[in-house]
Amino acid sequence: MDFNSIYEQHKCLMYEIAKSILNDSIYAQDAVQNAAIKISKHIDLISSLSSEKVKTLVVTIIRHAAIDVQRSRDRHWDQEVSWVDIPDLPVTNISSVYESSLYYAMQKLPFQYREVLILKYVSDLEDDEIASILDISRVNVRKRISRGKKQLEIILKKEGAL
Amino acid sequence: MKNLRDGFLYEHLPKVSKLMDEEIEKNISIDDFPAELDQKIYALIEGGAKKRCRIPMSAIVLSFVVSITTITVAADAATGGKIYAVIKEFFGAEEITDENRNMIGAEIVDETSLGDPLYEKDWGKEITCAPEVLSPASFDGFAVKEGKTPEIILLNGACALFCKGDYDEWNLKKGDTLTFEFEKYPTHSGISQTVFVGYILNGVMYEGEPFDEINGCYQLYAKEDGEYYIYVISATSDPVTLKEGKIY
Repeated sequence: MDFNSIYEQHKCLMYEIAKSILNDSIYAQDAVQNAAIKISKHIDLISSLSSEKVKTLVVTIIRHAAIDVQRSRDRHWDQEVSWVDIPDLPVTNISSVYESSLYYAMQKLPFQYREVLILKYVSDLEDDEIASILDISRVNVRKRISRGKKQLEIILKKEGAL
Repeated sequence: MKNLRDGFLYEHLPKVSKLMDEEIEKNISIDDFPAELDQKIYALIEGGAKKRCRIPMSAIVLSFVVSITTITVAADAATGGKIYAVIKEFFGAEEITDENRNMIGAEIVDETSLGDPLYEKDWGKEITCAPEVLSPASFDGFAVKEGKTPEIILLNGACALFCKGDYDEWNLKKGDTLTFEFEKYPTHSGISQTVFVGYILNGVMYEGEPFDEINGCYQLYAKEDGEYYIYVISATSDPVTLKEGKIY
């Protein structure tokens, strides 16, 4: 898959996710633009993934880009506020107790930890690839993965899933 | 109690992530996608996607004649008198004049109709983008007089290139430094916008550094002898305006 096909396939989703986070079409366009640049820079990596993983990665990239735009818009903004949270999972979609507990735990996890865990365990990216996509250092990636897992573990233990 | 193992996450997180994506998708409505965004993105990406994109220097637009033909400003009483500039037939970057001063800090609320740039001068040179650089939507040259850069305004993706005196480059020796101090006008909402500042060495444009604060200071350290220019690229959808700055 080249950039054009990835962009065309996901652009509406990207724009709407950005708009749902930023509540502003112009800022959403900035976020989509930044995300598109990011996708184009990492096109070799992204095009090697399965279509399902591409979608997950694109969603992570656009949410990250939207949050960056929001952060530059409001320096005092707290990235753990609820509007970036994942919607509640309907009971009918729960296929195993592990998945429902993990879904619940991921909902509770701050976005900065959630995104590194998804990039590592879903998109199968190496630490340096995650660092490059998120514009953070590799050390920071490792720290976030470690802290994210720790927090996830605490929530899952509370839930009795571990 | 067990600890959270990587195997557990590799096994269950992909399914959970898929469910999360599906739920997110269910909770948003896909409305009209702004067509102008496609144009902006393809303009940015298509140049940059090429391994080495050659931009003829004839495509450099000089500062004094660029096509602003209509600028209308409307006050929106419903938003507390917030001023929006509706810009038509404006392309690239240009010096601040009495005609465009009212665009400082403007936020676009209507679709911009981009006109064709005017080419005032052919420098007879080419600029080549380094592979990691996305080629800008336009180039405009601005003379730096007595170390001062003019007030300029840039549209999204536009590149302003600062030239020494009469559109010459700076001839630097290895170890020399060049400093560009600048200040942006905030938008009417008080937001600072992002620009990238970088350099061109012997006709090759290298990746710039992002500056998202109101004030910025870019330091160019010459890694080798050569002909250098400093450039600024706007990375924001609203027009970005720079106040008079200094290069020394």
